[in-house]
Amino acid sequence: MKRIANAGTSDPDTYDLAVIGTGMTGMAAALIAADRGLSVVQAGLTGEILFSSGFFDFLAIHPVQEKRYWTNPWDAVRSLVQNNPGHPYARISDQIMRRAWDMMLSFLEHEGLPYYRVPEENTRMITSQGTIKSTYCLPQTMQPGANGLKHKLPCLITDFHGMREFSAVQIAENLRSQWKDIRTLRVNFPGTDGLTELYPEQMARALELPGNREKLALLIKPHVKEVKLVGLPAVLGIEKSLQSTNDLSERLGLPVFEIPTIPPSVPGIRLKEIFERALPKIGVRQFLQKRVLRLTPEQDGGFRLDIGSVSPDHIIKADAVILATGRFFGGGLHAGRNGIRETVMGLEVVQPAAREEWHRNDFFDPAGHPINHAGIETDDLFRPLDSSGHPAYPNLFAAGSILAHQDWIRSKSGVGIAVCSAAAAVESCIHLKEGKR
Amino acid sequence: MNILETQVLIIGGGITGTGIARDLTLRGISCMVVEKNDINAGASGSNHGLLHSGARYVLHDAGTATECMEESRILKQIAPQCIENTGGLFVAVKGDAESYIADFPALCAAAGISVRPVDTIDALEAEPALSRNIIAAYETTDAVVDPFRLSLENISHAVQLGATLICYTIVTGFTVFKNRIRSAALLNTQTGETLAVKADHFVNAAGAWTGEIAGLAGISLPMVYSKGTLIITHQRIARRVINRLRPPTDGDILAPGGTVSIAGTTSVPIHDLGSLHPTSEEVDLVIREASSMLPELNNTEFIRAFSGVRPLPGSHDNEDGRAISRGYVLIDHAAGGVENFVTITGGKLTTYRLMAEKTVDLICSHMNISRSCRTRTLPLPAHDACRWSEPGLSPRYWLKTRKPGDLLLCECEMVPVSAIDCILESMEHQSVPPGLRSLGIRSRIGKGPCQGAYCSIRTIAYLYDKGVLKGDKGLVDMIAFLRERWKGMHPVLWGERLKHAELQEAIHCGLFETELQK
Repeated sequence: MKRIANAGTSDPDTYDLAVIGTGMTGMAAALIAADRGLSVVQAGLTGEILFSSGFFDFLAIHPVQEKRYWTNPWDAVRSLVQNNPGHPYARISDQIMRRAWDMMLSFLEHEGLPYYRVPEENTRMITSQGTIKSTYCLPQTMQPGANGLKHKLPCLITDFHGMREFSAVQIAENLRSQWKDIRTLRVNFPGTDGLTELYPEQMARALELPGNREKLALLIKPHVKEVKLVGLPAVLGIEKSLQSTNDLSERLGLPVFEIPTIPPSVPGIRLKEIFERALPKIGVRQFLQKRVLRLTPEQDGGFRLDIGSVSPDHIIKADAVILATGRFFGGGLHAGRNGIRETVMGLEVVQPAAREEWHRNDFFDPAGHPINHAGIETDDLFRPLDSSGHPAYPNLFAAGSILAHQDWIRSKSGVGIAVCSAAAAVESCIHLKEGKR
Repeated sequence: MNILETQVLIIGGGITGTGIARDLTLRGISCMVVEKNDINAGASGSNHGLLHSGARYVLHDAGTATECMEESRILKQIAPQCIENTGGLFVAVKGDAESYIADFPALCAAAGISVRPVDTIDALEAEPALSRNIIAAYETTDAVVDPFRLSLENISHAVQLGATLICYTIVTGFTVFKNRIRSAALLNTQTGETLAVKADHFVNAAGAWTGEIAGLAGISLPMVYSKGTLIITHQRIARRVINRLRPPTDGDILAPGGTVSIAGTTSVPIHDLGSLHPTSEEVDLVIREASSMLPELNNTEFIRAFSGVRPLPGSHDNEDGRAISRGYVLIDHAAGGVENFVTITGGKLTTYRLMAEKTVDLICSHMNISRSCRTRTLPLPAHDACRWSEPGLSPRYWLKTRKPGDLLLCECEMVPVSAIDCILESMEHQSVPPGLRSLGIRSRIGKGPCQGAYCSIRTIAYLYDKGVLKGDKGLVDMIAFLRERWKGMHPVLWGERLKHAELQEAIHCGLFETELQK
């Protein structure tokens, strides 16, 4: 097999870091590493990030079985690491976490997708099911909704004929006991007759155009006299969602907010497009829609990556690798009938003894499902351990949801674990690199 | 309290109860069916859907075998809309008892069942999923029936003829006076409403709960419960019903069910009906046994598993459920001191019509009515609202007759709004409250590859828009639906299915925080 020349002439023969995975963890790792001056290559099948709801959770529930809610996520983290020293958060300093959040949010703001957060607080926001969710950061376009919920402001929720998974009536009915004054309105989406299925991405692309926003505003305007804000499904543009939302808000003369819909949803598309657009600009060499077909440790402690779709079409060398391949949905772990394995290197996976212990009989069992705690065990530097408890490779790191001893779904900590462990793995990588010099 | 009157009160809305309701109304006798859950909630809804040729029972139970043979022939004529006449193959693999293979044709002949020997090469050509290790094969007249559609058609016809269905309602007691049950006290478990039904006769067709119902009338009726677990493959892997050619044991049967195949079963004696869910061990047992006939089962993925309880009258000393006859038992409790009470239990899905006929004959003799049974020849009418449970029907209908605005609620199985409207209307006639589970029984909602992840959300949204759900009823319904689905999903979660399950949890718990709502 011959080595195929890389596109840019400035591409190094050997990268400082290869990031495998293009979910939130992979994107955060690539972003932070590039920012810290490393040469970075990244490969993975993009897809999972589309399933992001747009909310950035840090930690809201601990202990999971008690369903205990924490207003201050930092306090929650302190309590969690005390009770569960194996949790990824237990290996990350406050300082790294704070820097990671700041970095991620200022990057997104710079790229036109500003987020809202109260630094020491979780925020409560409504969902398309009419439930209430706690999160740490939410897109600025959703923030007026959180404010409306907090102060129970008279609100109009608008939905569309043909958008089958979003019912304003359902939201209002479910919230009635907590947020009384929600009115509902159903309109035809601009340019449609209301008789066919609508898909959020097309709606969002249509609302990038001011003409469509104007038509939409005209439909809503007659119904806003007695309300203080207007909620809509999260379809207000893709690239310029804040401008689209503000524009609609100006046309209606009151705050407009987005309500997240069932994934894959528009807020996920926004994130995906930003990372794919912006990371190459800061020097990250991306191989998207490609997988690392083989990861081979080299004599010098580095790695060779065979990258391609079916057969390798690029061979890359890197001094260090961060595995950010996710769990089962992301493809980093595979569950066969008789056990769970790690898919890239066949790393040791901490897991329940037998399949019958993977899941509990009740889907909503407060304790969560044991399989969600399965994953990769690491040392304090986020290096996966082998069966004898030593780092499997000196320069291989793992980050994100693939890590063991956490239940990101039930504890509401998905993006927090992704971003903070990515930052910590990058720091470890730099630390070891500097130590070598 | 509301007091209703009828001639016959039937307890149990499975295939037996609905079949009896149709038979009674066809003989001009008024009746009501009280069902603690919804149609086919028990064993009638958790089986292979096999229309037995009878060949499976020739060894232990020639009587049942003959009944199956005759009844399956009748059902193929009167209820073709519920049946896929696939034909069957009985196959033996290396290691199976040769004596049984040798005896099989004679046993079948003795029961009056026609089977035809097939060359193993021809069998493999007809069913390529079969193992190369098969050593004998016989062609039979086995077929499959949609048990939901069959019960729904029976009850629809009965309701059309004047019967009443009362769902989500339990019998809490009988008023017995001078050796007769005068009335049954009922409780609607959804609304808390109580009512009483006065009737001339009472029929216990409660399936696994037969013993409990008899007990309410002061009659001791020992039952043995045998739990059977089955698994549904992601795709259909054989055209015919495939049956292992050996004395009946675990994992012998693979039956097609539209676009999927159903493999099973196990037979485990149980004493508690409370928590009936399939386990990973049972799933593995079925795969291990059935894969010797059909090796593909080792590599395929499964949509879900389910368990049913075979109610077998008998004593608890007899622990092996398979040794008990699968014949039905009709008990006239007059001998036990209650003159107007009969119990019908045991039996097979295939013989439900005969069981209904014999039960109604008995009631008629008590009532001095001499009207003969009409179900043997009268076709079961196909009701509009009953057809949506048929796999593959929705797409054909939708593509052919799509009207503007008739949006798809389920994209996997292509279930449009108009189908849901049609079903909701019939449910209203049958006093069934709207919800995902009742819609799931009557349509393909929740049965496609996404197992309800998306269509459940769209359906709930639609029910709110239509105004049939208020407050947090939809959330409560969604939670119940996900819990019920989960019971069947979790023992078969690996590979792709596990990915789906993880996404489902991420959506419902991660994004919607359903588990935390008060």
